Amino acid sequence: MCGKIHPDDAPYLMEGCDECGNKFFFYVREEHVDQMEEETKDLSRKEIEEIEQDVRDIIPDESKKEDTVVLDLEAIRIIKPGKYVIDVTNLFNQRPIVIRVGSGRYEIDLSTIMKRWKGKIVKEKKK
Amino acid sequence: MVLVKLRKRLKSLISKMFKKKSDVKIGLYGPVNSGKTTLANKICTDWLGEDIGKASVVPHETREIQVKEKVKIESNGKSLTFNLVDTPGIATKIDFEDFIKHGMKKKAAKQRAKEATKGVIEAIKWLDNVDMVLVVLDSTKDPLDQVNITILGNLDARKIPFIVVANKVDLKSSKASRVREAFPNYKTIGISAKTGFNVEELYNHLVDAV
Repeated sequence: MCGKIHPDDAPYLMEGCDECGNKFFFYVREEHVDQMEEETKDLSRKEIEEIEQDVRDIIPDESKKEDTVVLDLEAIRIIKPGKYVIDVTNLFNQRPIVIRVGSGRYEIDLSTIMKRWKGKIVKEKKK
Repeated sequence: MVLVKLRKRLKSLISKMFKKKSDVKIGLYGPVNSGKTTLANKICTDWLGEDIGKASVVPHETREIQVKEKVKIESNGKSLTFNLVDTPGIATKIDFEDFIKHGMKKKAAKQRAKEATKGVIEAIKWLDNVDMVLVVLDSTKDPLDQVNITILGNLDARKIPFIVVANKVDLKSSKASRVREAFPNYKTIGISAKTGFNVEELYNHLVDAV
């Protein structure tokens, strides 16, 4: 959520990010890391906050904070506040809605995922 | 295992057989500004005497699902009662600057872009709830567009019955034949929701299709 990149096997996946404490993670393929950093580097703090608010407005946050969720799909990208790129093919294919925001932060519509992609979520409750 | 499958299938068949015709939901889907709301209004004014929503030349005027219940149409001695579902236009790109070009203020344009994006998600989610779809395309534009192909491909894959409606045939630049040629395997009807041209033909197909 805060943009910090953790390796695949980091203990933070279970315990939450050591930077922000959040347990939402997005799987960024290695080949996409540079592109993601390039796309997000010019965003101001204000733009990042604006984008975050937009994401919250678009997707209802029904997720349980104690769960760890890792997803590897991008359906909607917010390039800048007010500029959206939508992958309609993925949305139509009933894949989870994941919003990738310019700062490298991600939010997901967990309610949709729970209904449709139960088996695809890497979800582990905090022990 | 086989018995369980058979039982499920039988249950589904029975529920389909006894589904009330008034429970039928017909969705209007299509790209932005193809005339979905204009068609929805045409259907509603024809049979209910009232509109469903506001149509506009500014893209993404419809940003929320709108449902008009118990629309009863009659054609060729048959009738059909259904709930009409007008959906926001599907788009791959939504940019607030496009709205500014239409005279909107920056803040309002950004709000519209956000609502339009939410609308696309909602429209696609609603596909699970509809029994039939009218895919409304703008016949003045190239039909072989990613959005059109994705919508049609998905309806086909999900086995949701649909009719391709080549709208805006009243315009000089309209080429309804291009839509038919692009999708030869699908039922296509050229209409003008604005003038009402050939909408009767659409009603004929609807009462037969559901």
